[in-house]
Amino acid sequence: MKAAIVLSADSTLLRQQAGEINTILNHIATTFSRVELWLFYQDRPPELFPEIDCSLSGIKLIAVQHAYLPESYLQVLLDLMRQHPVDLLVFASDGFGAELATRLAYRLDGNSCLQVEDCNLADGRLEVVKPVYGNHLEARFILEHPPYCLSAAKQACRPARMTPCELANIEIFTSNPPRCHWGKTILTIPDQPASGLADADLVLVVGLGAASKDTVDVLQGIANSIGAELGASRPVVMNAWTDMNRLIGTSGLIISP
Amino acid sequence: MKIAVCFKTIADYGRLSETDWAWDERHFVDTSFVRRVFNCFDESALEMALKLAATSQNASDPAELTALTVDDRQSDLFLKHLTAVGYHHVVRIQCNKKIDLRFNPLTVSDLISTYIKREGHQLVFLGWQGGAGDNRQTGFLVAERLGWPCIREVTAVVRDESSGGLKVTSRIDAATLVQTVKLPMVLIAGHCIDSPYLRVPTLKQKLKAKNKPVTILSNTRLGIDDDTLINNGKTLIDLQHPQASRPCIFVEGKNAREQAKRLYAEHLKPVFTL
Repeated sequence: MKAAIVLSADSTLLRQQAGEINTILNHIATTFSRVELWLFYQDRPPELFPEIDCSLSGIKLIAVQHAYLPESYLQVLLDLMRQHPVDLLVFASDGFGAELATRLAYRLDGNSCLQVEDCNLADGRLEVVKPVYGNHLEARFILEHPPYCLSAAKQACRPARMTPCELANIEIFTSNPPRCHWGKTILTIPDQPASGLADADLVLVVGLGAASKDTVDVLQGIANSIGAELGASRPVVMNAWTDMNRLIGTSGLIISP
Repeated sequence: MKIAVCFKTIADYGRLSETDWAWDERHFVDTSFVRRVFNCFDESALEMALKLAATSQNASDPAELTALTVDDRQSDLFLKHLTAVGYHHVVRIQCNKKIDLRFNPLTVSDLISTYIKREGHQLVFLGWQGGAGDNRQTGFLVAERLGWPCIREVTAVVRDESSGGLKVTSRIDAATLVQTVKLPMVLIAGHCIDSPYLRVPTLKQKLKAKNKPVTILSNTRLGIDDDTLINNGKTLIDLQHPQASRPCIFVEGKNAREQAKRLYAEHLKPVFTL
C-alpha cells in the first residue's frame, strides 16, 4: 500500500498533529510499500520536518499562495494524485485536515473518515476506529473504496520532534492560484500570542462550576501563582469568561500535561 | 435571499449512565428515554441565521428562512419551536426507518443538496459536528454536491450593504478571517460566542406557530430511492467501549487530615511550585 501524510508546515500545531498521525499509523506502518510526506508551506520552504515513525520514501514540499482557500490545496492534491497516486492519504486532526480529507475523497470517488484513532488492514480492506456518540463509544468501520482519505483524531500523544531532513528525495511543487469568483475582500486577524497551553507541564482546568468571570479571573491568578496554565471547558469559553484559545477537549486542545 | 439552515436533534448524552451505553444487534443505542436537544453547533447556526434575517428586513431581498432536518417525528416539536422564533418554513425529510443514516454523511448530504437545488436556496448553514455519528462531513459534502464554495468554522455573518453580499467571520489556525463573499455559499458554524444559544419564543409566538404546518418530504419524493441511501462505501462492523485505563494512586492514611498531609507532601509539593 502506498501512503501519503499531508500536513501544513505553517500550522501552529504541526508537532502535535504529526504525533497524532504517528499514533494512528502504529498498526499499519509495516504494510506500506511507500510513504511520503506532503507538506504545504506559504512563504519559505521549511528547514525542519516532523519526525514520522515510519520510514519516509520522499518529501514533497508544496507552495500555496492563498492559504485561506481550501481550493488552493485541493487542486494541487488532485494534480499530485494524478501524477503520483497513493492508496491512503492521512490528514491532520484540525478543520483544515477534515475539509481536505472529505472533499478530496469525494472528488476522487474514494472513502473518507474523520477523527480516526486507529487503523488496520483486514483482508485487503481498511478498517478504522473512530469515536461516536459524543466520545462515549468507539465504532469500527470497513472502508470499501480506495483512495482512503483519513483525518487523525485529536488525542493525547507525544508531539513529534522537529528535525532537519537527510533525505535526498525532496521535491518542491508550486500550485497555480485557483480562480476565486466568490470572494471580494479578505482580512486576516492573527490571534493573540498562544496561551502556551499545548506544551504546559501543569494545567488548571476550569469548568461550568466556576459560574462567573470573576471566579475564573481568581482561578487565573491561582494558576499563575503555581506556575500552571489555565484551561477551560466549552461552557466557560462560550460564556466569554476566558479566551477561546484556552478551550480544552474535543473541540479545543487535547493535552497531555 | 433564500436561506436554509440544516440541523439535527440529539439525545442529551450527559444524562445517560454508564450502563445505558449498550446496543442492540443493529448497533443502535436506546436513547429514547432521555430528553433531546438541538446539536449545539446547529443551534448556533440557527441563531446566526435569525440574526442575519433580522438585519436584512428592510433590504431589497429580505431573508426567507427555512429550517431543514433529516429525521423522524421526534424532531417535530423542535420544528414548531423554530416556527415560533421566526423561521418561515420548517421541513423534515423522512427516510425509510430501516436505513441507518447515523454514519452516512454522503447520503444525508445527497438529501440536503437535492432539496436545496429543488427550492433554489442561495445560502446553506450547517453546524460543524455532532450527533451519534459525529461525522463532521455533511457540510463539506453538501458544498461538493452543489459545487458551491464553503467556509468552515464560521463565527459570525452579517450583510455587506456595499457589495450586496455577506461579511463572514471564521476561524482558521491561529487567526480570524473576515471575508466579503458573494452567494451562493455553504457556511459551517463553529464556536459562535455571539450566538451560542437559540432564542426562546414567547407564549404569544408559540400560540401563533401552533397551527403552522411542518412540511414532510420522503426521500422518494426527492427522487432518491432507498437503495441509493444504503450504499456509502463505509460499513459499520462493531461498537465498543473506549478503553479507560488511567493511572491511579491511592493516598492512604488513618484519617482525612493524614491523607491530606500525605497528598500535599508526597504528590502536590514536588510537582507544584508551592
